[in-house]
Amino acid sequence: MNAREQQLLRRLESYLQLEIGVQSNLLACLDVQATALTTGTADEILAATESLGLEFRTMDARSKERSDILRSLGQHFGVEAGTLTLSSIVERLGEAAQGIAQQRIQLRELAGQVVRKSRRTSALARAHGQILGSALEQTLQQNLPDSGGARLEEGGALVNAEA
Amino acid sequence: MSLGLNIGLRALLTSQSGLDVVGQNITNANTPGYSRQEVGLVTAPSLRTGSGLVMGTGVSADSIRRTVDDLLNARMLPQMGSIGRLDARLYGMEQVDLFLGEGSANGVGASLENFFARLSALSISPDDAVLRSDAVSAAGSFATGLNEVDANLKGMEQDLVSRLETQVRQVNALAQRISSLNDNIRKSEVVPGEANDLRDSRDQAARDLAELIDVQVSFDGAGSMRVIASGGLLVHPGGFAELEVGRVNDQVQVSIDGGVGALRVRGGSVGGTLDLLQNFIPQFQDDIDGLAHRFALEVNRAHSTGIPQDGPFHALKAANAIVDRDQDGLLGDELLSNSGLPFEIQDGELFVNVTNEATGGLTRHRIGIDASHTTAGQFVSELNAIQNIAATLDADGRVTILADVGFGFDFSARLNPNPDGVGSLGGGRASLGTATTAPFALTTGDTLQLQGLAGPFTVTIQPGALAVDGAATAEEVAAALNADPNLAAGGLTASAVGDALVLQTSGAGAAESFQVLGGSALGALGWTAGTTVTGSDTSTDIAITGSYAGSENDQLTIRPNQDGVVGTTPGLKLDVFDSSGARVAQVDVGAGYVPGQGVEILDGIQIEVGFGQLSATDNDVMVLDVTADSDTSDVLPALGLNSFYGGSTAADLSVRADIVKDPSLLAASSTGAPGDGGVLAQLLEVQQASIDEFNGVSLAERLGEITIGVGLEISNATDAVEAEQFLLDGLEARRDAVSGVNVDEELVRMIEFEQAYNAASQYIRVVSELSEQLMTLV
Repeated sequence: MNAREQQLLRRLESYLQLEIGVQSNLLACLDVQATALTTGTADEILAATESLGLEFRTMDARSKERSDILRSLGQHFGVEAGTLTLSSIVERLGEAAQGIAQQRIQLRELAGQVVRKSRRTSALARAHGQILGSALEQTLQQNLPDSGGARLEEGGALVNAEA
Repeated sequence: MSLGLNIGLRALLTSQSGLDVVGQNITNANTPGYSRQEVGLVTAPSLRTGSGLVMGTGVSADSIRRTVDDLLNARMLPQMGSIGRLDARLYGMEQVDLFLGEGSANGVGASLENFFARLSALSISPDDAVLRSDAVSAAGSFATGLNEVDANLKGMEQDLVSRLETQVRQVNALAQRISSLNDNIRKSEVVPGEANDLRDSRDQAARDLAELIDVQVSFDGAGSMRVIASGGLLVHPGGFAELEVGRVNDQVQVSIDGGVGALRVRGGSVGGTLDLLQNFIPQFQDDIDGLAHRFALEVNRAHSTGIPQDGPFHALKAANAIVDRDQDGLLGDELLSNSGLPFEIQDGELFVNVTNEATGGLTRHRIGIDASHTTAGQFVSELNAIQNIAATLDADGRVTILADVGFGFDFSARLNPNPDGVGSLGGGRASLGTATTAPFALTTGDTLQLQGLAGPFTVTIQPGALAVDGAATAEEVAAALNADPNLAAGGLTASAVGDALVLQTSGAGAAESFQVLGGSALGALGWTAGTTVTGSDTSTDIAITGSYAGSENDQLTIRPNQDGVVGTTPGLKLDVFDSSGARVAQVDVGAGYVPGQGVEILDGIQIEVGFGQLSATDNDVMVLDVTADSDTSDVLPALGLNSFYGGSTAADLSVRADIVKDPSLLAASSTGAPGDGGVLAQLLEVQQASIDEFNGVSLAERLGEITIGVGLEISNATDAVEAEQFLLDGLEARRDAVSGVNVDEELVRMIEFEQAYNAASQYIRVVSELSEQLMTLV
């Protein structure tokens, strides 16, 4: 392994470690979010959502770092960067990339959990939102004293504005 | 994966429970007694997986709790009871205020004023038939006004009893409802959690109950409500008791099943209604009856001693009947003061005047009334003892007085215009009076030796003639002497003139004479043996005019200060003594006095002394009864003899029917003289006279006090209701803050949630997309 390969390998390991940390954080944030969605107040839900948002701060930098590393490795291996996966990189680099292989397994597991949990949590939030929207519409239709059967959009502007 | 789905589903269901509660809150925002509910969320029980891991299972709704401050609720109950009670009282008092018609031209106060105004108009021209009719009509209007107040009060009392019965039925229904809710709550709460809506319903029932009656609420260990109403256990975990309305000693009461005696209800509309029935209405009834009673007594007092337009009575029947109180079948033995008469009889005296319609001569008779001893029979006997009238006590208990033909009678305080009926002051007969007055120290067997024109003779006091030996009254001595036939045979007669004894010849003129010879009675009578008394050809006429303006009944004794001729003898005067023996006036009838001229003695009384001789030596004497009140015993209004009003309460007060029919029977005159309205003047004084029974205020002021009293009570009750309502409003505001539903807040909460969910959904979708991108790398 030449020096160039070693340098790219170190950069990839650093990136993967950062991504593992981010995915771990996202997983924890999603747990908090899921709890907030079901048991928390609106403020708690928003606070959990903001916590998720904090993880997006490094999203651009991580995305650029990932693109740079993959582009450099693609040039080094003489292949299109978009065709590279961690498995193919480990395969090309051999024994020296066993750390990457471990990180890949860890990251795959975490990212999978994040995807599953985020889908479920997102679905939960959407369902809550839909139930609430439906309940709100019915409630406002029933409680607007002079609605005269008007639609929610016609009668609820003031309430929404107050909210 | 299935565990994850379960967690999501549970969370979704939990979220839906929360929203259900929000919807429940909003739907019941205006439901009385509804308490805001909240979802209690807990972490769902963890599951241990086959691999030994303990996995969370999300969230679940543990309970739906009412947000209730039990202390606040408990504090509200007595407050609601206070308002219920005050409202009920206010309702009744406002009704009573309407009955009085204060401020209205037809109100009781205006009727009373109109009555006295009509009397005032009549007093200017007492014989005017139209004015008499007006006065009688106005008197009837006032009585009718009081009758209507009484009828309205009784009607209102019946209405209130009906209201009370309805209120008690409502109490029973609520007690049953609370008891039923106790059962349902116990059954519902066998499984964990509270039956919030049932508890709200029970709390509301308790509040409804508190508006009806004062209640205390407590809970047993199983959550059953125990209600104590006015000290009685109304609802208990095993059931409930019922209240019922009853009467004890004619007083409306509320009692509880199984309780001893009546409940002392102090709060709620039941308490207020009972307060009206037990206190306010009886007190007002007493007040208005007291006014009617006193008014009737005062008017009848004045009227019964008056004389109708046609003059003295020939027949009079009492309106009120003696009642056989001791139930021995006899009416005559009933004490006048305890014989069921409507007005109290006191120690006093009644003067009866009997008029000879042919001569105009009048005799006055005094009947003493001892309230604790005089019976109806004795009173009738006293009347029968008066010459020319006869009295009976009918089988129905009414006293009837009839005058002999040619005679009339009345009870007026008028002066006797010819008080010297026997001619003992300057009369033509030979006359010897006693210088001293009774009692005389005479005993049975005492004698008096006299010589008349036919020769000497002796008269003896026979056994039984004197009630008390050694203390004979003038009447007893005169009767005893007259009882001895020797006196009449000797041409003499004895008379009692006041407390003096007068011995006279039967005939008049200078030829008439008699001589006192001796006897054992001389010393006691103050006479001297050898005294000779001679008649006169000139009889001195004595006449009394005017009307007595003094305040006390009295008997004046008039004696000359010396022997002399009226209008001629210098220094000849008449000394006037009151009943205590004090000289209260002296009238100069000597030289310079024109015989027959009226001279004032005292207090509006004038004496006219005709020409003739007066003798101090022979103890000339005359008495004159002066009467401020001819019935100080009130026996006339009590018996209803010549009353103006019949009845004595607000219910039965009415103008005597024959007066309504013939207003000339209104006894306006105190003397019987045409145009005299002396009684009208007395009646007018009734309006403003201070009455001890009313703490010194007059009848008109007393009516004002009653009217103003009701108004003040209304004002106080209104203020109290406002104050109590203010406190209750404060408590309800605090309760609403704790338990009430604010629809806006609930909606804002929903919208906040909706926005939070949407934001979260979008963020998480981004997370998911990014992570999916990452998955393409790994």
